[in-house]
Amino acid sequence: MQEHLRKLNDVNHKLRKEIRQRRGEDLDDLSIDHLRDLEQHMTESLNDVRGRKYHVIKTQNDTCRKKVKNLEERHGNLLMEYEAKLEDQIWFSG
Amino acid sequence: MLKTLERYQKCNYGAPEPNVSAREALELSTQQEYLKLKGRYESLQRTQRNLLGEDLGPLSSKDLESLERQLDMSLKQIRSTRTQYMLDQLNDLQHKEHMLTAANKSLKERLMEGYQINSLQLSLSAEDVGFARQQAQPQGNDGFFHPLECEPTLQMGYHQPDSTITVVTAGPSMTAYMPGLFMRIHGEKLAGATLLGVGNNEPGATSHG
Repeated sequence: MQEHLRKLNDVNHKLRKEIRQRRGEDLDDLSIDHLRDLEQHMTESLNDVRGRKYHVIKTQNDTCRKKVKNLEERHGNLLMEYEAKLEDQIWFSG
Repeated sequence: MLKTLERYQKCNYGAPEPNVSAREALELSTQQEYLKLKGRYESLQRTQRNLLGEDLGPLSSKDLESLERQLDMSLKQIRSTRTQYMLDQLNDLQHKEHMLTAANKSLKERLMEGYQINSLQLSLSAEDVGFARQQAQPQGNDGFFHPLECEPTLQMGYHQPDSTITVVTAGPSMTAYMPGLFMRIHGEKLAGATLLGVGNNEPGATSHG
């Protein structure tokens, strides 16, 4: 039981250290190779995040554009109906 | 040989004659300028090649570090501008979507009204139609104009307190989507009102704006 607890603590500590290093802290005890690896991993992550960001914005953009096109068409139709209705009123009311 | 030496002396050390010297001076200055420009051109070309990642051999580590930082900052700026542009576009589209949805909803309601007041519609005066409209009308600021107000003088305009009759208004408004309609309806309404003597309006049907 104690052993298990100790192990968990260890893992915890390791993970926290890794996170700190990915934030640019606690880099002093890293070898140049480790630093190089870390830099590469971070660059790759950055590219993934950025790619995802652009993808999401682009998709939302496209969806919205389609919606607007739809709405504009509908708007045109409604306007025509409305115009027709008003014309009826002008000529037939009073 | 002597003559050549003489000429040499005269050229380099003799008192300068006015005409010749002027020309020489001009040539000299032109050549100097050429050399200066050439130097500048070469330096610029070097900078450009460096920024393209080429010819990095002669650069010191300090130079390389500085170059790297420069490129990094530019890239950051470019990405930021690009993202901002995309987000602005998205914002505009969402705004447009919202306006169109509201406008369509409003139009639909007005169309529906008409079909519910069927028998009245044909024999209504402006007053009655305006009244019917007002009842069914939602109390919102959808910016939609009212072709028939229920006032006897047949005034037309926006329901908003600060509005005047304009074909295109600043800010979100429905006439952004149908300026032509507004003008036509406005004109026709006036003509119609005068012709048919609609409602209790005075002989000169007025509209404010």
